Amino acid sequence: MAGLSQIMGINRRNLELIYRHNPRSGFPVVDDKILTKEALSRARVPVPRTLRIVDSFLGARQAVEELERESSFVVKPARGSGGGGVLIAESLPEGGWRTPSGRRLDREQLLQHLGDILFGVYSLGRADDRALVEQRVVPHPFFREIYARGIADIRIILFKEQPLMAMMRIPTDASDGKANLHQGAMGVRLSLADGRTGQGVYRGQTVTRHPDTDAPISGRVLPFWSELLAHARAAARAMPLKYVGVDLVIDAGLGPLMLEVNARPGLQIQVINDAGLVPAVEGIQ
Amino acid sequence: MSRKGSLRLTIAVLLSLMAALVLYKVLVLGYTYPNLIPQASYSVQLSMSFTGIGEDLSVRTFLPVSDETQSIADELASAPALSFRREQTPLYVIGEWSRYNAEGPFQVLYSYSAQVRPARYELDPGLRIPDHYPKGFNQYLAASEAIQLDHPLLRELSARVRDPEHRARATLQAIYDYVSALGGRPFKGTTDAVTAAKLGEASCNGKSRLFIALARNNGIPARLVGGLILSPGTKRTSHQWLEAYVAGHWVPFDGLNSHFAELPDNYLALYRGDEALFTHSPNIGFDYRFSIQRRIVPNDRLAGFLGGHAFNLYQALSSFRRVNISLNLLKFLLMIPFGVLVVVVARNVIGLTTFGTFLPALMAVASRETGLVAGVAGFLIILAVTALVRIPLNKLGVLHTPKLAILMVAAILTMLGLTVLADIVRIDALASVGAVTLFPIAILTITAERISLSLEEDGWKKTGLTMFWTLLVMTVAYLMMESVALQALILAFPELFLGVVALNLWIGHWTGLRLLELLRFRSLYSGQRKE
Repeated sequence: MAGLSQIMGINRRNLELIYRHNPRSGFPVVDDKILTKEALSRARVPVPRTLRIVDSFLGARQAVEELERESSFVVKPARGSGGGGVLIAESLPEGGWRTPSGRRLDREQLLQHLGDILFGVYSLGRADDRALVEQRVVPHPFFREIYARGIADIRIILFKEQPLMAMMRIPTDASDGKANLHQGAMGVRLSLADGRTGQGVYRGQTVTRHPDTDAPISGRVLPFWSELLAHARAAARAMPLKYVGVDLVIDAGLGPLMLEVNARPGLQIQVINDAGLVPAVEGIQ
Repeated sequence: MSRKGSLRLTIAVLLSLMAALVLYKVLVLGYTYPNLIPQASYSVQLSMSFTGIGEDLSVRTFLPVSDETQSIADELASAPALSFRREQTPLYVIGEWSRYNAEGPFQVLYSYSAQVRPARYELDPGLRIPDHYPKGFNQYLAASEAIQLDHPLLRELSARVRDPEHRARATLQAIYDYVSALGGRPFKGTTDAVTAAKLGEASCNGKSRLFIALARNNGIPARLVGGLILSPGTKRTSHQWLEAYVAGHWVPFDGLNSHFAELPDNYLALYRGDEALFTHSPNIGFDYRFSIQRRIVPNDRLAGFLGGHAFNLYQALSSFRRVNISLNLLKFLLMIPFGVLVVVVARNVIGLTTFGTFLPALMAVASRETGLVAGVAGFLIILAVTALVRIPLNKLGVLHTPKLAILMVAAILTMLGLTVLADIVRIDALASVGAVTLFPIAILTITAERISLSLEEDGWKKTGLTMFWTLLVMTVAYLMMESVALQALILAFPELFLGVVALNLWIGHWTGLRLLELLRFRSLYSGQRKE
């Protein structure tokens, strides 16, 4: 339970955190996944392996040919938002690919998708964009025990390099395998101290089990918690912004990987944690 | 000084400056509200078209004249190759356009601006119907072809509404109640008094004739009035109401639109008596329409008043005119900050999401000439067309920007098509829809594309909700900008803009929870999370 004054609203977040501590000049780095990855790599924060960066139509044709040799990969618009334009592909023995939802994809369709990304169809401001093709993450067994489809992720919000609040987002049938709260994923609160999971929130209801698999979600301890926190701090230090949300996943073989950094992290994390962000922010200031 | 402190100081300075200027004008210069209230003025254009077939040709219609309730100005007639004659009688003025051996198409444009004052009569309940009237009133008591008095049905009805004490007001009230209760009919054409009574429903002229028959049968002189209900848009419908002679006054009644001894400020009278609005030679393919625009104009006092005082926008009007900013455009511009303010409140205080930041305000501006309904309809039509056209484009696999360009072509053609269609089938409302959307078509198309994308990404529910909020905010912005009182105030007190800026500054540094966030985060403070 929190008092009204402890809740961070959009107006307050924008005025007191984003406008004041996140200079516009720092936005390009986090708004472009390729630039983010470069900055994170320099700070020695692990990220998924980049297979290819596509920045021209000629490059797109070449990429399609080379990608035939990869067993699976993910295509993302560098400046996409909200998961738009993200394509997960798995190669088929008879040639071509299929997506996790079972849709088949031939070379022309993959080329078209890359073309759309280059033209900025999915991108902030609809400007021209680049496509990032990277290795597909294999979720750690910890997540597969809870829900096998899709990839769960961990969001940590930091202010001046100090973690404020954390949550885990687990896909559901309703979210179609996506770890997006607005699309129906469940949020689970994470203790900053030890990475222990608390209650979950699914469609506005407090739950302790996954809605589809009935697996218990509370009281587990997330593996690699100290590494996850260390990577979050290192990423926050490497960014020219003071108030950020970082998204991490845990790969079965590679351990923690950082997917992206957000300059305007959402406020729903307060609902998941049943606590307002304001006291934590004031504690740091 | 802290950031917050300087903001507050700025707001305080702006508000004090505004208050000081307003008070100075009110207290020292004597600005008073009645002086400032502007009036609605309508500019009306009657357009008549017909084709001569080589024979003599004439077209006659009634022209409005100024009297105690309406003032007509700026009359302008344009009728190439036709001769014009103006004929005046005590009851009306007729304009006649004619030509000998006329061949080919002709067009007559007759335009004027009209201001109408609302009329309202208090009828003394004790007033009795006189037994005798001066001789000139016989025509208003006698039967005519369409106002039958001796028909048994009308005799019976007349007896039913009769007041035993012959009081004028009670009799008229009974007639009015009876006629008002009859069903309305939108159809055009003439209905006589007996037919209206038999059918139990009638259009304006049928109801009015029936009213007149019952009044005359009860000894109250009454006559038809023909004219226009002034409302923005294009129309072919004229209107008929009536006047009854009570205590030396011709008192208006309209049984169709529920006006008892009163008329609003948009009833323009063209003639009195049971007449047809147009008379013309046969077989000339006669057609007409009225295009009406509503404008808010300073009332006569305001012009004189503001012109004579300092510190208001009326003073600067001549400079605006020199650079081609008309008063109408000026008011347009002046009202935009208020429409935009509505959007700011909707987004930052309430927390509504709309398509496009200022699109709702922009759409409201675009709808001002033709009305809100046309604006919303235009928006929805563009949306539907865009959604349809993008289906094959997506199937073909067309890239974003060229796709947008094609959608825009489709939107433009739709709007032009609507306008042409409106002209052919003569649905006037349709023409307004076309007209309203021509202005912001590019913004509309881009928004429509974004809405279609949102439909694909977020589904019907979320898109529909955003759509609903967009239209709601647009409506509120429209009503705000249409406010005559606000328009008058801003002309007289342009310093109110300081207040608008102050309000935006205040909202701009307000860190409270938006109304919808109270809902979103209710589990955090209510302690009533559902288990």
